[in-house]
Amino acid sequence: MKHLLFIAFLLIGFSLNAQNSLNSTSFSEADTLFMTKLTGEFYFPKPKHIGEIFYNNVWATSTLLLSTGEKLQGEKIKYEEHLDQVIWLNTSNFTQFILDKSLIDAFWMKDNFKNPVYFKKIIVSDSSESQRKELFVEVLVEGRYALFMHHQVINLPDEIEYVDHGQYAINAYGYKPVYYVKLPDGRYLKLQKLSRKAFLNLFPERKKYLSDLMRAKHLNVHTVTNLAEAIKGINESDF
Amino acid sequence: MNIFKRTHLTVAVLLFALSGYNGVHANEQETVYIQTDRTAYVSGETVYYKLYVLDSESKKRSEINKVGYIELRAPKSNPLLKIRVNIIAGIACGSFILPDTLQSSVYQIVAFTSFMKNFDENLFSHQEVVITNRNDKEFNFETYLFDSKESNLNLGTDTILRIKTDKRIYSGREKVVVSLVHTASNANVAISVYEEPQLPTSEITIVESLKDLTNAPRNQSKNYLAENSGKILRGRIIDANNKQGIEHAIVLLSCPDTVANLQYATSGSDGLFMFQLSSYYDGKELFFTIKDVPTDQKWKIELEDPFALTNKWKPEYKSEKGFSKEYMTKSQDMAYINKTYDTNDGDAINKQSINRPVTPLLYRCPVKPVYPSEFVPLDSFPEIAVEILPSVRINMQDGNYQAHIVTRLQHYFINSEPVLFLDGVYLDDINKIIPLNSERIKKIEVLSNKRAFGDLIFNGIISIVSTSNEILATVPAAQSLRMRNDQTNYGKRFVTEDYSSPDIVETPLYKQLLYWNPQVDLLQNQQKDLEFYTSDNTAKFVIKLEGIADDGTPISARASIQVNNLHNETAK
Repeated sequence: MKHLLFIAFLLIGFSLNAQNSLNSTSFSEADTLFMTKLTGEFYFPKPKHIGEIFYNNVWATSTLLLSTGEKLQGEKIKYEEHLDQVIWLNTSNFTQFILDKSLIDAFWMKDNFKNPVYFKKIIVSDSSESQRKELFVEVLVEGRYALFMHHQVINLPDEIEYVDHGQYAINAYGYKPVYYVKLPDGRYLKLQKLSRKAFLNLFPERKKYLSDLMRAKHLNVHTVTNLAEAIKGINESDF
Repeated sequence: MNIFKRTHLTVAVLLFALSGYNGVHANEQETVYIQTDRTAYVSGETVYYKLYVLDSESKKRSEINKVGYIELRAPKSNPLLKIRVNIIAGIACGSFILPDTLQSSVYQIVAFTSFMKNFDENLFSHQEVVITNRNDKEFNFETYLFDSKESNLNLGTDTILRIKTDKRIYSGREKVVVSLVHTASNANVAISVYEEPQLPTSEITIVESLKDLTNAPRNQSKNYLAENSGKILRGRIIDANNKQGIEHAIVLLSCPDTVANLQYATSGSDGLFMFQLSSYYDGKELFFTIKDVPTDQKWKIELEDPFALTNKWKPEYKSEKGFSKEYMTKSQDMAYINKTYDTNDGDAINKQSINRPVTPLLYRCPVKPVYPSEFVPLDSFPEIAVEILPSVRINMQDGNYQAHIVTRLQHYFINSEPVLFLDGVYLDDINKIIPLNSERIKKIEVLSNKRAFGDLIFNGIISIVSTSNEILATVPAAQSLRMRNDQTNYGKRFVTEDYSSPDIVETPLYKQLLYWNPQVDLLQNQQKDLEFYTSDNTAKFVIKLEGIADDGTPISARASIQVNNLHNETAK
């Protein structure tokens, strides 16, 4: 009886699939066939250097949200932290391109530990800089108050390497993350150091309230997780 | 063993679930029905229409296609009018104007979607109309006449749909109130109130049209995709010598703009290629070209006309009786009066696009443009290149011009051949830009690095924008093609005016169409009142109502009123 049931299921399944294969192809084809094409400039891998410049060492299969509103799935990408650019591996010709930043609004991929991560593009203006700039940031908390992490890699002084009695200057890079808290009115507050004091200084007028909140939740903002908890706490409170 | 059995069951359930998921589109087939405000017109008049796109099985509004095609054709002739419409939630409403030059004859309005071309053309919606030329006095209709048949239209006595008017007989310029009640379910209907034509008609109601719809077999040789995001333009790349389709060739499409834009498609086994044209391309000049044609080959592009129908229309000769010359002369006179007094017969419909028009930009990175007008005047593009574009070189080799660009590689630079764009269009021949001088060029953008556009790689890009759209004056090369894209038809919305108002009391008002409203939403058992005014035209008017109930039931009903304009009678 169970075998009969199994065969029946199998047959119905196959017949339904066979019936609609042509039609379903037609609909999905039209969606994917005419997607906006990725555009970008040829990427020259950096010569020998010291320090890590990529967020992910291996090519990650991604979902890209384009500025046209379309979602493109399955493209191989790496996030280059030093340039703050998405590097795309075009698998049809195995060439690497820096994707035009204005084309990418957000992307989803997996990090080196296979954890899903979500990056989006934000536009911030530093008080020290007159110009607004577009940054790719990792989304840590979303809500009324949002928390973003910019995986910034900065230039360090060149290091000297001795090879075959010769001296060579090698570029060195250092990791210096920056955090952005997005306020309900759309403004961004920049946090460059993970400390309780620096965090409280972001909200000078509500220091006392925030301090009590952190004490109640046993938070010290010394780690990213702790900072994220603090922002979640703010979202849950009537801050 | 238990594990084995469980695996069996899991696989079966998974397969079933999978098939169920795909089954959203299983056997999906659509049908269309076109409803017009009248069945008889005078050339130059407006035809108001409502197009229903329905799932052929459930008869509910279909969401497969967002583009519909309507054409007007005469017997044994090609389409005389081609209209592309946007379908929103299975419905498209609008209007089109009949050309003044149409001869008096019987015509056919055909409506279909591109996806329906995978099936038999008989499934398209066909509506026959009589059009009288405004200046025709002969009315020579004898060749093609309909079989004047008794229509089995519901006369408003149905218990499901009731049409009630506040009076039976009205005088000229009097307010009419029509009450509608649909008892079965909610419904969306269109209503028209028009003078009963004294002409034979082969009018088919929505109820008759959708009756006995059977699933037709799909023509496997055709593969028309559902146009769910915009018009899909199809074409073929063929060998000009033997007409054979060329496989794996790349076709480029761009159109005049101030920015370089591009789309590309790769041809299939029979040379077939497709482009999806968003509203960005509406009414624009399209430039197609085949990339990298081998020098010893002659390839060309052939585009498919989305309106092309295989079957010509051959109406059957049935009867010569029933044509009223008096009615046609009256219609002509009214059309003449309305034209003379320029009577308002509609407002423009707000354009509703089915997709956000996105410019298919070739590059989306910031580039510093060069404006030749900021430099000393230079006589030709090679001179401009030498003087103000340091990374560009124009050489002449064997009598042919060649462009080169200095491209950066990892540690050195090479000279490579860039792609050229003039006024946003991919240029198939460099000679077209050679004579351009500083006066004729507005700006130049040069991207010297190797760039990707999808799977295409370009060794640099030079984009020139001319001061007066020079691209339109160029002639396409042998492997190129140029055509103007049609525009989405929106038409006008019928407006109801208070004809008794003192502002228009002196204007003669002779209307054969008193009212047209394509979007009347009826709620179950709730009365819907519609108001309009009679004109100076003394006649019997038909109130015709057609639509689809929420459960997919087609609805059709009609009633009539009499208008007696006493002022006219006295004058007579």
